[in-house]
Order: sequence, then structure tokens, then C-alpha cells
Amino acid sequence: MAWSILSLILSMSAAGGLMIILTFTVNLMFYKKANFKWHYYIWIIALTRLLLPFSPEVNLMAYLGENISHLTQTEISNFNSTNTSKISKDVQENISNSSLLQEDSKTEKIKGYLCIFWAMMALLLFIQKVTVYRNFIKFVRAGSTPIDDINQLEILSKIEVQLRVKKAVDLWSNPLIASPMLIGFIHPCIVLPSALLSEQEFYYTILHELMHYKRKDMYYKWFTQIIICIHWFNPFVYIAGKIINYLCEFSCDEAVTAHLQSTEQCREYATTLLNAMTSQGVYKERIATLTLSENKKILKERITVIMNNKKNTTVNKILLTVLTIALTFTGIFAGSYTINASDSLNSNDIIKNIKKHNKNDTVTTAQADKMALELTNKIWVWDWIEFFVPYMSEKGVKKLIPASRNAQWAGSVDMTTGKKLKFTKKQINTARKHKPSTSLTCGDIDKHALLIMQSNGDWECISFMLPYMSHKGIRAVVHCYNSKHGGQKKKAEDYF
Amino acid sequence: MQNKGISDAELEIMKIIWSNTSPMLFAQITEELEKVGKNWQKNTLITLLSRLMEKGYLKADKHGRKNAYTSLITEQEFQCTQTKNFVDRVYQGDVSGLVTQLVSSDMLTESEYAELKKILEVK
Repeated sequence: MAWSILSLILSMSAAGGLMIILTFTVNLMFYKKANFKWHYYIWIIALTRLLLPFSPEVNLMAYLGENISHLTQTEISNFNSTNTSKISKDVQENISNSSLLQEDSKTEKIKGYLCIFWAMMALLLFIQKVTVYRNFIKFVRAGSTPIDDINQLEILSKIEVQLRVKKAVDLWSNPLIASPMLIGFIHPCIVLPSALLSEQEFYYTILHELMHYKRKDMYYKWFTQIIICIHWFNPFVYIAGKIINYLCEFSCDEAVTAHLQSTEQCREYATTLLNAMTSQGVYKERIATLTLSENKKILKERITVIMNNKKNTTVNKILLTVLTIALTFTGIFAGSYTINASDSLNSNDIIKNIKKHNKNDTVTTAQADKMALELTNKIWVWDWIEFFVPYMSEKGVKKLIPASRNAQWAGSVDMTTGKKLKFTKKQINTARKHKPSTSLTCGDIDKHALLIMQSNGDWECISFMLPYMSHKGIRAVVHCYNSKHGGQKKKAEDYF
Repeated sequence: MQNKGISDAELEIMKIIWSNTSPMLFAQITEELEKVGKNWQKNTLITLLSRLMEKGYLKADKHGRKNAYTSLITEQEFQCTQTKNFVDRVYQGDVSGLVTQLVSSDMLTESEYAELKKILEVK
């Protein structure tokens, strides 16, 4: 479980990282060819790749992932074959087997901790971002006064009509903020550092902020932030976040200038941006507010962009459509690698790997010991144990008598005297004398398990034999169990 | 809550709502505003109404999909609190100062003066 979550996140992160590099390259290559709107929204593909765990079965990450897991699988089967070649040295096998199991549970634990660590970090980051943003908004609102000038409110409403913004965005002023900004999801509000703006400046400022609102840049920003939280360990997502922020302003300027009619108006808009820079406010917040102009570095570039408004030509449009489709497909096929249940390396699977499915396969003495002791631990029935005794090791046989004393169920108590019963040495020695000509096979286990199932119908009395049984044998036992317990309670396939 | 300042535009709306006793629908308010020559944008009015609600002067009840606005304060109550605020701020709570000012700067007509006198005598 932990491993599959980790591998999913890592593969999503890797595929997403690849998409980020690709998208950035495309941004650079087609910087002059495409408009900023395209550059800005093309990032959605990479972001969606980072967020969605779904992908077609054939994909790059699955291919890479399978290669890796194939390697580990071969290692294990190598390990197993060396194991089976040492069948006679059953003690050694026992040791190596159990140490492998131990090691496995250890790594499984570490994976679990890693998984929790990842989730905790993601959650903490998200909470931190939300808190910072909420506090910022609280501060801004607390120091704000609504702008009562009816003329300014009317200009705002008129621009809303022009841009087909349905919601009435409120208008406040706060002398402490560094730049005009748009805050709030449910009650959107434009906050200006000062209401004392010329009508022209006021118009362009509002136009810019309302354009952010109309384009739902706020949601895009938070979408990016959520992805940064999930993939906090991936440096590429931070870079992507920065690039998206820049592109957001560029494409917003682009949308504003597209709305303006003359170059003269564009110049006026650029002047407004410059003037906004000189504002003296101090409140700044970098997560998700949409400001007018905060970053001096990109301002020069933005003004250049405003003055040279570019539009996609028809040829470019075709090229860009092809590019968009190509990127989408790359995104889909970059995929994420969800590890299959059979790939996960837990102890059950190691037993499965050791398990022989052919009814003629032999069962080792150590395995016979294990089964006999398990059965004794469960229930005291001499006939059922007797079956194993001839195939057991000396060491195993010695453990039988003490084990029979501690058997779980009432079978171990003499019903008339209430005394605990145990196997007698005599019984064991007689059984030992009967040396079998052939070794114990899976087919024998099949029959024995079925016999036990038929007589008491208790699943726990045979569950430990399942790893050594053939598919046919398991089917027979499951069928018997189901018929005893009424209906399809268990499925044989679950135990293969 | 009701001590919060009110802007000229907001007062304009309140006056309209006070002069129409029943809860008013948005369209009715727009109509009344147009009568006094205020052809405001729809969103401007929405903003002003929501500010008035936030300040506690108004409340809105859903009538189907439409909002019906009801005043939470009468005109008299409003005038009273506003006057109190005014006296507190300008005359440091000294009402006689205000009356003196009104009388000495001839802001009261003869009839208003008589009315004021009558009220004082009754009390």
C-alpha cells in the first residue's frame, strides 16, 4: 500500500518534471511565434500530469517502472533458486527465508514512514500557504476603507459590463499595500493603495485587475500552489510556479492591450504600470495575490510586450494547435506508474514465489515440519499430524510433543477428565518407523488439506498449507469450504 | 454597527427605501433612483447595497431568485445616531452649543424656533 502510493507519487513527479522541462523548452523555442495566452495556458498540460494519477496502460513511466521491477524480480527468483537448490540444508533455508522476511518487513516499514512524511509535508505546506494568504487578506481588509466616490464605482461597473464580468467586484483602498491587487474568491475585491488616481490611471488599473478576475487567474494560481504542495520534493515544480507567475502577468497585459484600441492607449497603460511601481506601500504577499506591478525585473519586459502586441497568424495557429496536441499526448503517455500487486515485494509474494504449483513437486522436510507444527498449534488431532511425521526432520519431531500441550483448541483436552492431552512418544516412534519410499508431494498435501477441510471445515486448519498446494488442490479445498459455509464466501484465485 | 459612516450614495439608497415602507426589490430601487436622475450601473448598486448590508443598515430576503431589501433602522433612528455622532464630534457632546450655533447664525426660522420652544416646554 505504502509502496504503491510512493511509487505513484514519484512516477507522477518524474513524468511531470519531464513535462515541465518540455513545456519550458517549447516556451523558449516559440517565444516569438506564439502569444502569451498560449504560453500561459499550455502549462495546464504539465500541471494536470502532475495532479492526475490516471494514464493509459502503455506509458513511459510504466515502461521504466517495469524495467526496474523486472530487475528486482530476477534478483528474487535467483535468490529463490539458490534456496531450493539447498533443499537438504533445510535449517539454512529457514534462516535465510526468515531473514528475508524480516528485511522485507523493515523496508515496508520505512516505506510507510516515507509515505506519511510525504503526506505530512504536503498538508503542512498547504495549511501554511492558506494561513499566510488568509492572514494577508485579513490585514489588507482591516486597514481598508471602501471607496465611496460614485464616479469611480461607476467606471468599475462600466468596465465590468465591457468585460462581461457578472459579479460586482468591490472597491477598497488601503495606503499600506505596495500595489493595486485583487483579493477574495467569494467576495472579490480590488484594493488600491490610494483612491487618488487620475481617471486614466484608475481606468487602466481597474482594467488590469478585472482582466485577472475574468480570466480566473486566481484559480490557476491556487491550482499551481496545490501542485507545489503535492510535489514539494520536486525542484521543477517551483521553477514552473515562477514561470507561470510571469506568464500570468504577461498574458494579462496582452489581454488588456488587445482590449485597447490605439497605441496611445497602450502607452497610457504602460505609464500606469510604471507609476504604480513608485507606490510606497509595504504589504506584500507572494503566494496568490494578483497585483498590478510588483516585480521591477519583469516590468521592462512587460512594457515592451505591451507596446508590441503580437497576434497569432494563421500559420502559427496551425503550428500551435499541432504543438498543443503533441504536448497533450506526451502528457498522457508520460504516464504514471502504478505498481502492480504482483510487483510489490511483501512476504506473501516471497512465499508465492517459493510455492510450487505442480502437484508432483516435492515438499521439503523443513516445510513438512512447519505444517505439522502449525497444525498442532491449532488443533490436537493425532491422525492429521501422523500424516506428516514420516517426512519430518528429527528436530521438527522433537517439537511436536511440547507443541501438542499448547494447542489452541479443545481437541487437546480429554473431554472426560479435563486433562490436557499430548502426543505420546510411542505414537511418534511408530509413525517414524514407517519410512515412505517417495518424498512428500504437493499432491499429497492437496489430499490431506481436503481431508481436514471435509472433517472440520475450519479454514485456519489448512491456511498454512496453501503455499504448498497446487491450484487444483486449492480449488477443491475452497469448494469444500464454500459448500460447508453456504455460498461463495471465498475465491480460489485469491490463494494462488 | 449602525454607527458606521454612510456615504452620500448609500444615503441616497437608504432614503428611497425609507420612503417606500414595504421591502423593495432591486428593480424597484433602480426605478426610484432613475426618478431622481441617478442612472447608476447595476453592479454599482449591487456593491452599494451589499456595503449597506455589511454595515447593518439593510437586510435582504430571498423572494424566489430576487432579493427584497428591508431597512433595519428607521429614518428617525438614523437621524438620531447621526446627530449624536455629530454633536459628539463637533461640540464634544454639548447640545446647547449646537442650539446656540443654530440660533446665532440665523439657521432657524421663526416657526422652527417656536416649535423647538414648544418641545422644550413639554419636556
